Amino acid sequence: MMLNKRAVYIYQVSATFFLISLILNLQPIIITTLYIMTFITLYVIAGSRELKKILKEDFIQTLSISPNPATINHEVRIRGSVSLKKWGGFPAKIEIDLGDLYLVRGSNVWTGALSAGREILIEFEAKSDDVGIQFIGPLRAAVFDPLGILVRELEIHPRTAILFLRSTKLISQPITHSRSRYPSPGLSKNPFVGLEHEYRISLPEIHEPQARRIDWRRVARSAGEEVYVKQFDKLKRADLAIFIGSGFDIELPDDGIVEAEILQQVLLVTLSHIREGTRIWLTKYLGGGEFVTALLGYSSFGLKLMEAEDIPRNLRVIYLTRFIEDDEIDVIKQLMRSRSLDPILIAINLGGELIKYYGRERALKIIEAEDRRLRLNADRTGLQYSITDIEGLQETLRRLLSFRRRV
Amino acid sequence: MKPFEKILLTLICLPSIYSSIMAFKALKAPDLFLFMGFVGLVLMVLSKYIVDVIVAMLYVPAIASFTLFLLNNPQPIIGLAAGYIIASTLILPIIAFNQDSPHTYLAIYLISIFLDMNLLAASKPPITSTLLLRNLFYGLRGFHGVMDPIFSIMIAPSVAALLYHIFRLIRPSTSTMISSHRSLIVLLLSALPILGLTILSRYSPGYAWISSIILGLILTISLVLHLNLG
Repeated sequence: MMLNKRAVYIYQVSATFFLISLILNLQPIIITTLYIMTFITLYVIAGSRELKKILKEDFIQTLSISPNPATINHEVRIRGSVSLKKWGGFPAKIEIDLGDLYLVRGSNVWTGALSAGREILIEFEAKSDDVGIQFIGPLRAAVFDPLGILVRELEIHPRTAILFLRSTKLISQPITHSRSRYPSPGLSKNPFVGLEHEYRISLPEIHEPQARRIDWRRVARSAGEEVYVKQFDKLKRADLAIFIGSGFDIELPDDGIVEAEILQQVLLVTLSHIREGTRIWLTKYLGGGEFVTALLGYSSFGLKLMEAEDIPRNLRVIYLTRFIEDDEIDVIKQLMRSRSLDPILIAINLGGELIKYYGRERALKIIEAEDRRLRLNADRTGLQYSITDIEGLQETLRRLLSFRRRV
Repeated sequence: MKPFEKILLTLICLPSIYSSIMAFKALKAPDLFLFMGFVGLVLMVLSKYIVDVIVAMLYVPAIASFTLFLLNNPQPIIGLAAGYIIASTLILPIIAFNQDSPHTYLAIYLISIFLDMNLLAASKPPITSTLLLRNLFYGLRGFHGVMDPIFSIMIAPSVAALLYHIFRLIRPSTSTMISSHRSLIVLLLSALPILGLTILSRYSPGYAWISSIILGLILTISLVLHLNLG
């Protein structure tokens, strides 16, 4: 419960003039300002009881985003609906927080009188320039007393994640019809249907791959008569959580935001290495021990990001980081311990990007220094880890997911 | 402006109207330029800045008085300035009436009341426009308010109208101070300690002053505690 901003200003002006008039002993102004202060205080004491009765549970609300995942610089339609189960006649302001998105059309705020059963609709279009996990919401309702002096703010719907990608087409999606009632991303169980990414690994003959896992149509022979076979990547069944750690919110002059590239690559590899029915949670580290999570789903229109307040226990986790936040190591340890997670830690060395802008020697020194720093931090986590750069991320992920082979 | 708003504005301006009348009444002899200055400024605002009115009522007297000032006759320009100062107490709440922010209007109103008190203190008959100006500026240093009972009475309806107006500007709201039973009851209850203070100030201004501080502190602390702990 708090005072309306305008009522606060009135009280502040009254109190300031009250103090000045006390010093100057200006009786009429002392009386006037004191009267206003008394009125506000007594009104607040008398009027707060009614507002306190209104609870978050008294609201019925929905918040839908379409499309999600979305493409940067393309409009996303956001629709929020709110209605009150009981009470009524209260002036209210309902707002959907835009986060880092910017409004294109419509309004994210509604102001008026709330009454039981009346559905309030807030529809608008917004877009984002930045790739990555963005958030819309929370949906907040500010309920006022009839005079508008007191306000009770309620967060009636949590914030919802929107995944902005450079292009949604870059992500491979299942090409077969799902038999599942609640389809999720992942490849079909049908062994004869696959995507290009499945056939990429080459192994020398001496490795003797299992015959049933060889794609015989793609057997090749090199100039030295050495036989190569192309093997299917193993598809994962287990549910997965992808954590985007600290240090990716930087922009490279030619390649845009690093987080965008990382996300795009991670999703590209992950979605083509999981089996139908596998669930993926996307989680972002916000700093200060805080994470936000969204569940990647699949609908008839393609990929879909859904709300998820938390991740379940015993998950397979891919944690990508640059160890920029000081407290991140402790947070990772705590997270893995408390949830019994099975982690794959990938530290990204961005030093390689510097070769484009600095001399090779200088860049190599930076790469080495960054590598040392990443190793030092990764060792402190006590987890198994891989260190890679942006270019090698896809291959690293692919090997880790399919064969648990660290690079 | 709707008739209701005109009544509201008149009520808010009551202390200023009273202090202006008292300033005119205190004049030893009628001063044409002082009157022209007052009327010119008030008409300019009431006519919503019509060019003809501004030229006739503002520029003509200003040029005339300035010409006379150059001809070594400063009295008209002093009279005009005194007229402007008297009018300023009245036009401040009028100009700011359509302000959207209630706290700005409240601040302007309180400044206007302060100017009214200063004007009343400076209007000790018999005065001339020169004396009025001198009293106004020199009086500010040793100014300790005014105890005019009629002025205090005028403030009561003025504050009631002011409260109605400023709390009407708080949005969003579904009722006004008059339409809400709770606000009417609280309005009357709030008047009780203020009435007590006013009575106390008649008999012991020192105790009233200390009581004001205590009441102000109690109110602020109660408000903060209630909002944070309640």
